[in-house]
Amino acid sequence: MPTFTINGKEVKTEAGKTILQAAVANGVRIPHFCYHPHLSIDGCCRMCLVEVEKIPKLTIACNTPVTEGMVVRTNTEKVLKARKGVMEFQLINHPLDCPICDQAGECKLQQYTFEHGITHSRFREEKRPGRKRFKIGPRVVFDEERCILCRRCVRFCREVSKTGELAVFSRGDKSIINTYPGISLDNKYSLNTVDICPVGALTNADFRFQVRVWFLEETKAVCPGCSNNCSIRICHRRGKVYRLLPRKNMDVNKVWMCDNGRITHKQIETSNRLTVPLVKKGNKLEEVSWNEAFDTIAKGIQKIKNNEIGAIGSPHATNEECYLFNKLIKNVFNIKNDIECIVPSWEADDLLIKKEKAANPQGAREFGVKTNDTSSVKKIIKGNLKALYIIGNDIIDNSNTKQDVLQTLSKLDFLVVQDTHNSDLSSIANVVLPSATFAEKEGTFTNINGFVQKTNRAVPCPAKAKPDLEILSGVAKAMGRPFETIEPDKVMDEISKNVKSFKNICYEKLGETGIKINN
Amino acid sequence: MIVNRNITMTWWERIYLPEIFRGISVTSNHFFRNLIGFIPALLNKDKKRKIFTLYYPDEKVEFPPAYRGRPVLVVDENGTERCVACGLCEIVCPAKCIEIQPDETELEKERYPKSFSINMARCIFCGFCEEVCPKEAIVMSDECEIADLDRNKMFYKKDQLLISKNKLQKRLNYIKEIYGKWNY
Ligand code: SF4
Ligand code: SF4
Ligand code: SF4
Ligand code: SF4
Ligand code: FES
Repeated sequence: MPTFTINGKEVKTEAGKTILQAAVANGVRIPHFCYHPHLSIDGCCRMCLVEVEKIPKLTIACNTPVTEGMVVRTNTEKVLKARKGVMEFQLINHPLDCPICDQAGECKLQQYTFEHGITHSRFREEKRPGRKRFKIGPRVVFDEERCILCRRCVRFCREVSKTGELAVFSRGDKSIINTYPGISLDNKYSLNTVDICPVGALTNADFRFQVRVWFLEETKAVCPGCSNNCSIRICHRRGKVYRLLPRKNMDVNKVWMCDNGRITHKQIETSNRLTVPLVKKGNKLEEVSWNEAFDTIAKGIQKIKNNEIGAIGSPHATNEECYLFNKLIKNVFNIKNDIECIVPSWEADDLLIKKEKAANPQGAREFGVKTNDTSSVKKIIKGNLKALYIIGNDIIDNSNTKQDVLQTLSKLDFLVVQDTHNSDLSSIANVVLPSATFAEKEGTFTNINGFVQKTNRAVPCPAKAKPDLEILSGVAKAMGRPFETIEPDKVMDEISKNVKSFKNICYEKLGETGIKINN
Repeated sequence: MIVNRNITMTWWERIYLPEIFRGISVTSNHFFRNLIGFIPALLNKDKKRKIFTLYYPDEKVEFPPAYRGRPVLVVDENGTERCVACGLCEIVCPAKCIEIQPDETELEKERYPKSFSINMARCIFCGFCEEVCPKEAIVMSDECEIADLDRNKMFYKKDQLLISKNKLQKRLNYIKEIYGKWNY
C-alpha cells in the first residue's frame, strides 16, 4: 500500500492505482475527458495533467501509477495554465452548439470551460466542418463537429460490447470517429456510448430534443426489461418519463444497461393503457367504481367452489405483490391450487441480458409460484376450473397458441384480469383491474442471482389505475378478510418473518444497490 | 433590512425653506401650465398643446428602446423564429411563465420550439428571458396594452408571440449594446 502526498495531504492507496484513481478515492477532483473507470486507459485528451515532484514536466494523472512517497499537486498555477491550454485546443474546432445540443447541462466540456473561465477564442481561422446529425446507428445520432476524439466510444465497443464497430479514421486534425465501412453502430448496448460520450457528439435518437436535462428529476429504480434487474434512474418531468439511465451497481450491471431496457418506459404512456376498472355487464365491459369492481370479484369468487378457482401470477410483479397475491389466493380465497405464471423469454448474452424477459421471475419462484406452468389451461379444458384470477397478460404472449388459449379462457364462468394494458385477454374478462407499471409503484425485485433491489415510484398512475398492492388489498377487504398492511416496507417486514430466504431483507438494509437473499 | 444612505446635504439644502419653495414652484408651474396650456391649441388647430398629459388612447407615447413591454419572439428574414428552444429562458424566468416544447426541424438550426407559450398573467417584465437568450430570439417589445378580463386569454401561444425582426430592430440594437459588454 503506497503512501503518497496529494495537495499536501498524505494518503494511503491500493497498489497499482493511478494518480487519478487514487485522487478520486480521496475526494480530489481532477478534470478528465478520456479516462473512464470501466474502460481501459487511453491517455489521449491530456486534460488530467498534474504536477509530480521530481518529474520535470507535467504528467497525466490517468496513466501514471502512484509510487511510494510521490508528491502530487493538482491545482498549482502551472497545472491550471496547462489545463487552460488543453481546453483552448479542445475548443478550436468545437462548434458553439450549446443552445441546440442535448448534452448541455451534463457536458464535461461545458463544465470545464465554465470552471476555467475561458471566454475568448484566439483562433481566427475557419473551424473544421463535419457531418451534423448523422445517424451512425439506428438509435444513435452522431455530430462530427462536436466530437473531441476522446475515444471512449471506440473503447466501449471494443472492450465492453465486444462488437468493435467504431474506430478513428484519418490523422491529425482530420481524425474522425466513424464505423467500419458497411456497418452501423448497431449492437444491443449501443446507447451506452451516448452516456459515456463526454460531449454532445453522440446523442440518443429517441430522447433527442425532447426535454432539457436540467428540468428532469431522477428517481432510483430497477429496469423491468429482463431478470438481470439493472439499476436505473428514471428521468421524468411533470409526470412524464423521458429516459432511463443506468445507475452504478457493481453487483448487477456495473454502469451499463442494454438498449432494450432503455425503451421499457415506452409502455407507460401508450393509448392502450387500462385506466379505469371495468366489469362485464351483459356482453360489454363497462366502467365502474373500484368498490363495485371489488364487490363483483368477491361475489363471483364466492359462488364458485374453492378447488375450481385458479390463479396466474405475474413474473413482472414485485416481491411484495407476489407475497400478497399468494396470501390473497391461499388465505383469503382458500385455494389449494398452485399459483403459476408464464415467463416470456428472449436470447441471453454474457454481458447483461438474461434469458427470462421479466423483472421478477426469481422472486416469484421464491414465493412458491410455478414458473412456465400452464396446467390451469389444461384444467379448464378438462372442465376442472371455473374461475381464474390473472395478473398480467403473459399467458397469451406466445402468438402461436394465443387463439387457442383465448378460446379456452372464454369458457370460464368468471375471469378476473389485473393488468396495465388493454389486450385480447382483458377484453374477455369479467372484471378488469387497471394496475401500475414499474415506474408507478414502489417495491423490490429479486434478480436472477438473488439480489434484492428497491425500486421507487417516479410518476403517478394514469387516471384511476392503482398500484397492484392497493388492488390486492381492495379485493381482500371485499372478501371480508383485509390485509394488516400494504405499505411496501411493512409488507417486506412481514415477508422476512414468513419466508425463509428473505430473512435478512428489510428496506433499511437494502440501500441503493440492494443485497443478496440467502438460499 | 436597514439601508444606510449616507446623504450629506449642503448648507443651502440644510436651511430647508429655499428648497421647499423651489419644489412648490416646480409643481405649481406644471399645474398652471396644464390648466391653461391647451388654450392656444384650442384657438388655433395648427398649434401643439403645451401640456404634459396625453389624450390616451387617441394619442400614444412612443417608448424609448429601453422600455420593457411584453416579451415577443423575433422572426427572421427567412420567416421562421430565431428561437432554438434551448430552454434557458424557461429556466431563468423567475415567474415560471414560459413553457417550451422543443422538437427537431429540417432547417439548419436543427431544433425549434414546437410550442412556446408565455403566461402573461404571471410575467413580471423583468427581461431576464431576453438577457439570457443566446440567439437574441426573445426580446421585450414596446407593447403594454395587454390587459384582459379573462385569464385564459392571457396565455400567449407561439403565433401570438411571433413578431418580425424589422419591427423590433430598435430594441435588438439596444440589447446588443447593453448586453454586449458582458461578452456573452
Ligand atoms: S458538447 Fe457541450 S460544449 Fe459542445 S455544444 Fe454540446 S453542450 Fe456545448
Ligand atoms: S464521439 Fe464522444 S465518446 Fe466518441 S470520441 Fe467523440 S467525444 Fe469521445
Ligand atoms: S420578462 Fe421575466 S417574467 Fe416575463 S417571461 Fe421574461 S423572464 Fe419571465
Ligand atoms: S432562450 Fe432564446 S433560444 Fe432559448 S428557448 Fe428562450 S427564446 Fe428560445
Ligand atoms: S483523462 Fe488523462 S489523458 Fe485523458
